[in-house]
Amino acid sequence: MLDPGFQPANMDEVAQRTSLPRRVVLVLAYVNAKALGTSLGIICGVWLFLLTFIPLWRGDSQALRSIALLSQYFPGFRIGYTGILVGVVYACIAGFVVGYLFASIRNYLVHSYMIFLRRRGEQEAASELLDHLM
Amino acid sequence: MSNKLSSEEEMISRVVIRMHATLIGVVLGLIFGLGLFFATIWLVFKGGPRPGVHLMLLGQFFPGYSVTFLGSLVGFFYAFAIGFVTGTFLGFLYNKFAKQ
Repeated sequence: MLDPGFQPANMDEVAQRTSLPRRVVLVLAYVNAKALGTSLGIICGVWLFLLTFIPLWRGDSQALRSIALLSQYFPGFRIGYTGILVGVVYACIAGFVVGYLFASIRNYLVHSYMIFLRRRGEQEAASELLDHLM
Repeated sequence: MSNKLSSEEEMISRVVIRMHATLIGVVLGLIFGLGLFFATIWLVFKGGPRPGVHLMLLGQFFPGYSVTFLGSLVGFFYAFAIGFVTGTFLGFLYNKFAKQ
């Protein structure tokens, strides 16, 4: 988890200061969970709006019957202009949760991997030192 | 040995990833396109009296799509287009929000 006073850093500057290749810094960098969640939420909302609004506007009852099945997951979602709004809100929330969780889990795994790499390096250095001493 | 990050590690974890919007679009397009292509082809080869009764409902949104070999190609292009638009838009929005 990031502290509240988080200040983003520049990749090139960090690569230079840590003397790591730029690609390594890029792999270990952090995904902004709120930004990914918000983007995915907006996209899901827009898709659900289009998928419901276009058949409703064209009067395509067969397509609408299939989309109405979404109410099994989104209680309150109905085919109609008010129902669309309810569906869009649900889709935005679902998209945000998926994006936020994906980024958070990914960041946590990268963070753990960095700690694992450092520990392994420390252990290797310690065992080399012990081999020297013996 | 602590679980805390060293100063260098902390510096790295403060770098925010920027997405290459077009590349995300192409990758998502290929995933969607190939996913639908193989899902359709699988049902075509499996055969049966009415192959893909549920998958053929996609034809309501993708005009020309059907559970046939030709339909799988048509579906690939539709799904690729949707994946590409979604991925590009996702990358664009993420970069905008991550910048703030």
